Order: sequence, then structure tokens, then C-alpha cells
Amino acid sequence: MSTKRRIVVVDDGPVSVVRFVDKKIVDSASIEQLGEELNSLVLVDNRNVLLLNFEGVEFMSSAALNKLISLHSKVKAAEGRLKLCNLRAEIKEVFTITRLDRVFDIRKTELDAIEAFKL
Amino acid sequence: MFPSPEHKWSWKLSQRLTSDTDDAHKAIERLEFALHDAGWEGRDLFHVRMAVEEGLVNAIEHGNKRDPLKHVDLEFRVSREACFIRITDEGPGFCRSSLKSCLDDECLDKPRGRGVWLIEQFMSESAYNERGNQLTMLRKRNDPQLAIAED
Repeated sequence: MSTKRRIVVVDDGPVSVVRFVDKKIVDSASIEQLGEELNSLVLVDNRNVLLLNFEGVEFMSSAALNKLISLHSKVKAAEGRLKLCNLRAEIKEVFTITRLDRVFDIRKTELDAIEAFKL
Repeated sequence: MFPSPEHKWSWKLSQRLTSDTDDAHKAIERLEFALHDAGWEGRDLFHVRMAVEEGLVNAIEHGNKRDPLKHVDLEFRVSREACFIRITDEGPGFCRSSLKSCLDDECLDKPRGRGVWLIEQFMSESAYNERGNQLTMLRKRNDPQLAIAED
């Protein structure tokens, strides 16, 4: 298992639930590290059913969005599944305005998302 | 660009930064405190925060190409009603119309162009100078034109 500094991963059955350490995801070195850690979930740890829980995340820049897009393509290539949940209203609006809500499956709560994985 | 030259600003900052995002983030933090003191919160505060983050990172990374000898000049002005931001880099400038839309289906999963789009959506007004190395933005507080995007 690769070491993680920017994320915390907890298993809920087959789903790897990922939470973010930083409240504000803006620092460029941290974003690079975050991207590597997210990708390593799929490429090193062989996890491909992922739920990103944004509880506590107050702000993220487009550079951080790019890392999520990169993760999305890794999960897709591994024929896995990726969902997002607990986005605060302002961050959800960023996804809507950039139409990334069409790329990502966004659920309100962790419970909603876990249930949706069972479908 | 609104507001008028007579507009009373409660806080102003003019600063020359090196091409270092750490310095930029310290300046953004000062802006956030000033906005908070002027009564800004929630969505209004988030929109300004996002636009200035994207504008400064673009200036440092795409404008100055992180050249340590180049600078970014920034100007922030805050009042209860509005926030004015001007960011100038020392790069050759860029042409807004040459930037492909991040909303096109074939670009949706590509990591490009979202910063500029977010600035345009989240600010009341935004414009580049002719050379394309200076971004001027204005955000009115509670701007009714910036309706919440539909789900």
C-alpha cells in the first residue's frame, strides 16, 4: 500500500472512501502530491471502486479539478467506478458551471453514494 | 467598468510579487480577510476567491512561465459593495479568443481552459488588455446577474 499524505482512505465493503486532508486545495506542490496519491490508488493499490468524500473541503482550484479528471480517466481505464459526495454548494456550482457534473457522478451524501454503488 | 472613480474603497492593496505561488497565496489570504471585514461571505466570497486564484496562477505559470526574474503586479480594492482586482504579468500575453471552450464535449475531460471560464462566470465583469498580459476584474456583491447554475 502506498503512503498517503494528502488523503485518508477507509474501506466500506468494496468501496474505498477517500477523504481530503486539506481544507483548501490550492498549494501547487500539494496538488501535485494529491494527484499522484489519487492515481496511485488505482495504479499501485489496485483500487477501482472509489468514492471521494469532500466533507470539510472549503475550496479547490481548477488545478485540483484537473487531478480529479486525471483520476477519472485512470478509473475508467481500469473499468472501475468513481463517485463524488458531500460537495459544499459553492464547489458543486464549479462542477455545474464547467459541465464536469456530466463527467462525474455526484451524490449528496456518503450513504447515497454507497447505495448507488450497489445498483 | 463599474464602479465610478469616486467609489469609496474601504481597503486597497498594491503589491509586486515574484513568480511564486506561495507569495500569491499570502496576498489572496489578505484579500479574503479584507472581504470578510467588509461583510462578504458565502458564494460572493467564494467567487472572488476562485477568480483571483485562477488569475494569479495563470499569470505566474502561463504568463511568466515561473521565471524568477519576472514579476506579477496586483491591485486589490474592496468595499461593502464591490471588489476590484487587476493582475499584470510580464509575459507576452495571450489571446482569449484562441482558447478552446472547456465546455465542448471533446474537451470536457481535458485539463485545460477552466480557469479563464470560471473567472468569466464568477465575476460581474472581466477583461484583458490588448496585449493580453493584464486581467482586470470586478465583482459586485450580491450581483443579481450571477444566478446560481441549475443542477
